[in-house]
Amino acid sequence: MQALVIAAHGSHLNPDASDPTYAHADTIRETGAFDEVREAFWKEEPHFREVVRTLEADEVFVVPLFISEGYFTEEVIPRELRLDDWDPEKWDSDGTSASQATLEADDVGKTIHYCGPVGTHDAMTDVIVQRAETATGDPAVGEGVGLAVVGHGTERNENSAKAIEYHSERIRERGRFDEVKALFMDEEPEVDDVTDFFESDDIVVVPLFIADGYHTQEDIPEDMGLTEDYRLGWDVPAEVDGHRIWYTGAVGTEDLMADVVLERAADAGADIGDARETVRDIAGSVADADHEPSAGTGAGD
Amino acid sequence: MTIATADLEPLLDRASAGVTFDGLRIDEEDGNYVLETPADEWHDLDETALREALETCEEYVTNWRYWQETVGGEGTARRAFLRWCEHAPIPDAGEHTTTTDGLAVPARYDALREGIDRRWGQLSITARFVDVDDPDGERVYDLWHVDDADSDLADLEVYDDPRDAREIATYDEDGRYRPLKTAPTLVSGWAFTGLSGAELVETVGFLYPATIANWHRELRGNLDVDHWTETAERQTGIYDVIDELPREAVDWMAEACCVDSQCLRRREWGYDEDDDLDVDGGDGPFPCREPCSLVVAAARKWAILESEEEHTYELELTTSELNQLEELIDAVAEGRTDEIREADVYDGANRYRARYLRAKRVGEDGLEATQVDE
Repeated sequence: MQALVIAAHGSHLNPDASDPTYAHADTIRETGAFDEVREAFWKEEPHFREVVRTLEADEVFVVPLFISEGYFTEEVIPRELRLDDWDPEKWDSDGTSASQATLEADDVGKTIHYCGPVGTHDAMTDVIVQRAETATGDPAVGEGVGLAVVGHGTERNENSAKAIEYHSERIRERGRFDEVKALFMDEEPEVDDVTDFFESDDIVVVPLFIADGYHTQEDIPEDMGLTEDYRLGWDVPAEVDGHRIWYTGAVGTEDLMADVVLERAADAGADIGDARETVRDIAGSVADADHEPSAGTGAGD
Repeated sequence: MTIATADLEPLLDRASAGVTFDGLRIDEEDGNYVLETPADEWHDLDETALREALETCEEYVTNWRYWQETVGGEGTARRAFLRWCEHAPIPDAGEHTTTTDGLAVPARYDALREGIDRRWGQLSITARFVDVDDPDGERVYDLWHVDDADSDLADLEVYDDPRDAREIATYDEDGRYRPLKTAPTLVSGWAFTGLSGAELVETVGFLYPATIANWHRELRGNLDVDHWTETAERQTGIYDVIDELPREAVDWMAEACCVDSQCLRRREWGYDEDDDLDVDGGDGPFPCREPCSLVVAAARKWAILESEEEHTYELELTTSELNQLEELIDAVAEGRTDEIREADVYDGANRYRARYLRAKRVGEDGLEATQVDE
């Protein structure tokens, strides 16, 4: 038997914070690839501390639903899961290259494959591109369009910026968009000046965040000048300094994220059969059916 | 009445290896079989005779099939919980089994025809046969809020997908977010009916995460309790400070957060292994094995607040105003401010009474109090 645990932050204050976690877990449940699929949280229940004991499988794949390698993925999650032999060195990562480490959970005697975060997986690049497609409602979006990938920045750790730059570079190499830029909330180049960095009239802005909340639904739309007050919402696209800005919200809510979770587990040795095709079918059909861009609304803490 | 082939064949397949389960015993001795139930005993049976004899103990046969073939999962929390649901003996339960548990098969079958009700926090769980008139041993489970125990099913929102429980568990009756799933604020008005055992466990897992796993550990005597000091010292980042919370403040914190009126988990952790807290841990069926993330987050606030020095202040109040402060604190702490009627000016926590006190005693710079110590 094999089980999948999706480890996310969650919130004590905002009931929507866990929505993407549940949605991606449900998509993977539909594939039947794992005998058990469980959501686990730092701020909700089941807590990281108690999730593994709820599983019957002996082999458990833990995939952190986090953007970058850092405090949560390297310190908090392994500690709370009781992975006593954990050491960040086991990932042997340059900041974006963690794949997995195989460990024993002390309280349950199960084998835990502790995977790198979803945010740094190569498949995440596709999710960012898909978000650009769903934001514009154009499955071929790219020509004549600039893409800004937005991240938090270095406030807590340098790997946060590395993940943003990593995917921006990969998308740039594909040559699909006229311009690709990595922008940040709290360091240069800043998202506030988004229009300064692009010549293209149309700019798609994709925030590399897991869940919608304060940053993606309040800070960023106001900082970019999409709206005076996030509570009033904004247009997609919105006119700013002669550019049209296509902005919806956190990339982590994109349906294709379930595919990244699956890939992380597969890289760690999970037998997922043809689950990826199923997920891509589900995500693709949702993207087709739901291509009308909608104005953002405020939410969360 | 004959037993369905599907019930009998798997049992016969295992007969030669020996079967001992819930009072049913089959053993092979010198090429023949011995069959035993608490009521009867047969010896020297060949396979045909064994088959005939088993026909007379249908309840034991279908009970074996349900538990060994349908439920399976020997030693798992899921199996133990489903056995608890129908007062069946739980083999590895140790001293924690209550006197109501351990019903023998005929008594359980009688009860399952009517439905066996058990309570888990604010949940009422009914175990019953799928087919009451001709039970083939297959059980299903109904689940609803204890407050709806006497409600007509037609008046309730009926669900059958365990995942629907997540939405039910997310908001209280006023539409406020419930970050603590074991808070006694689960909304009523819904029911899950005809769940399989696995679906019941999954549904309870969404309503009260990890409670079954920890209950099972406690039942087997291996609940791993992390006391306050262990949890506090483990924290890093913004929660690094919580191990500075004074000893007495941990008592106040438990009194504030970890009593039955606030959380249905029964607190098993103390200050440390040899130092229990003064506050009662509660009476819930499922244990709390360490301070939860809400307690940790609140402890951070209290650790910071408790680092402040105390001072003596002088402020002018009438005796009634002093009493009113107590009433205000009490009303907020008990969450009863919404219940105080608009015009009930006799209640110190009435809105007009509070506004009057503010108008009289709270100036532009706040409460008119003077620090009198240096």
